[in-house]
Amino acid sequence: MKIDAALLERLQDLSRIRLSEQERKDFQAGAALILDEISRLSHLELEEVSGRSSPSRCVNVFREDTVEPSTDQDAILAQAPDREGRYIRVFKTVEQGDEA
Amino acid sequence: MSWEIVAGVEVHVELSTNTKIFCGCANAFGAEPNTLICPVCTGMPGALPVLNRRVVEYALRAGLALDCDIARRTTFDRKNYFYPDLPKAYQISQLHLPICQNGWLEIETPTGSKRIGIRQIHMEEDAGKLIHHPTRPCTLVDYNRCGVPLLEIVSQPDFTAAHEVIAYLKSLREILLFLGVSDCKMQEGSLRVDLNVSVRHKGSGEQGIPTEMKNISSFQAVGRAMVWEGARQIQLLESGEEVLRETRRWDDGKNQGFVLRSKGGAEDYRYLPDPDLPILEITQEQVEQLRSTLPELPRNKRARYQREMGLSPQDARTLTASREVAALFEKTTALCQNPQEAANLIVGDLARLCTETATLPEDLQVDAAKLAALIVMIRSGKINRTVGKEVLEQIFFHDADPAVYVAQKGLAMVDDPALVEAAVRQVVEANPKSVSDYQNGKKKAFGYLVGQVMRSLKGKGDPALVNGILRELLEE
Repeated sequence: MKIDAALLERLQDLSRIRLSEQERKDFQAGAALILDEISRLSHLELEEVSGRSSPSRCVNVFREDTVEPSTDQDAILAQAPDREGRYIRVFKTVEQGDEA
Repeated sequence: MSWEIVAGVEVHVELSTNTKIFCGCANAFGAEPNTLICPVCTGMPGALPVLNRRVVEYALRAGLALDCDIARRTTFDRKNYFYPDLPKAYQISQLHLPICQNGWLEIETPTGSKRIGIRQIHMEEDAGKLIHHPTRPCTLVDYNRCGVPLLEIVSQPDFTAAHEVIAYLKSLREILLFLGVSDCKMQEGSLRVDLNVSVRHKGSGEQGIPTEMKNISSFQAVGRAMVWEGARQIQLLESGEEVLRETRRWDDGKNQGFVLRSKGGAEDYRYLPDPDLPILEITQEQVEQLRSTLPELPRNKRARYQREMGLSPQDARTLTASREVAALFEKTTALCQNPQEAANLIVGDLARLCTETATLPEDLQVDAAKLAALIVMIRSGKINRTVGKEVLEQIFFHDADPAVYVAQKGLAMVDDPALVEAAVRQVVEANPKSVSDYQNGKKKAFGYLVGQVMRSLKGKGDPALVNGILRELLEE
């Protein structure tokens, strides 16, 4: 599958990532390789297999609605690149008008 | 040719389970930020989600109450998008095999009842909460809400007027409250409404390009947003422009919608079956078992209160405005065997006390047995209605026992004819002017004299006895 300029533009939009000219070139080449590799899957004979089949043979696995202590909060927060008190702080990525 | 506005709504409700949908973190509103989180709901590598059984039960209850077909097999899908409210970068949702489909809900409109189709109900997890800093270029993230169970209830585009959408939302909220699956508090975000609006030439049956409106904070605002957006689209089309498929934000203060983004198609979300969650199989037996435990829904209650208990439509509506009030009414009625008195007490004085103290129905702590005892005391003539009001206040504020309170305070009705007659004589002697007024045809004076007798009996006189004896004495 070819990654043309229009598709690359769309992917940038969706992922909210701005690429430099060099990064665009690298990404186009790299992503094309990955997609070619993935496309090998389409050679598998899967006519007999339902698209909704699951790799797991389990059915109806539940937990009961009982509170368990929330664990590892500090370890999780420690993964955040930036913090403000107990909040994780990120760049503001607000779309036009989305201030609410 | 005239235009017609067509709308559908997507309602997200947070389920009132104890825990989140895929982990044991508490499902609670208002906790300290990032305290109700764990490796599962923050998408740490290797963490595995396990489905909360009660979420499925609540989804099925909602589906059955809305006359949906229940899926025999249902699965979860990953909806991929990048945004800081979603630490996994995908939301676990249901696209391909939702748990409930093809239901309906009947609403009342000025021109009669109308059936609104429910396209589907599916289960999903909520995202975290983002607080955009008003001045600095940063956003604060709280993941406590991440993984809170949601039902998304998607209607068919069956609405052609704002009042229909409002009636639908009210009715849906009422049903969900009676089912006990959600507290439906819009102000806390546990009920959120997205509105899809398109326009078409009236009677053409064609489907226009819809836009989606988010951030609508009340049912009335949904109506305003529908009217505004319809008008905007008509204006565009009449001036030869196109309606773009986009997501818009409603600003109720400005009474105006703003474009948020061009709407992504389903393919942009690259849905894929979630391999971490096994298939769910639901048997007919389970469905029937759940169906048998569904509570009587408000609409049916209203009909029954009118048909079997002879209540007015207005009383029936007030009593079924919440599950708690309906339960209180039914328990009280069962104990005192007098539905009309129970309705009068609850719709009248008790409702007034709730309003005065800003008590919400779900916080109402009144013992039905005590209300019933109060009604029996009034009906049997043990106390009169004035004292009844005082006793009700004691029940409301202090959970007082009516019999004990009346005995302690000596509030039982004075129905000893000798005592009443003594009081009447005293009043007659002390008020010669009123007596002669009455005897000269001023009938109003009678009421004044009754009031004086009641006052001397501290409001406890048996009204029938007071009236009878006073009349006798005056006409001697």
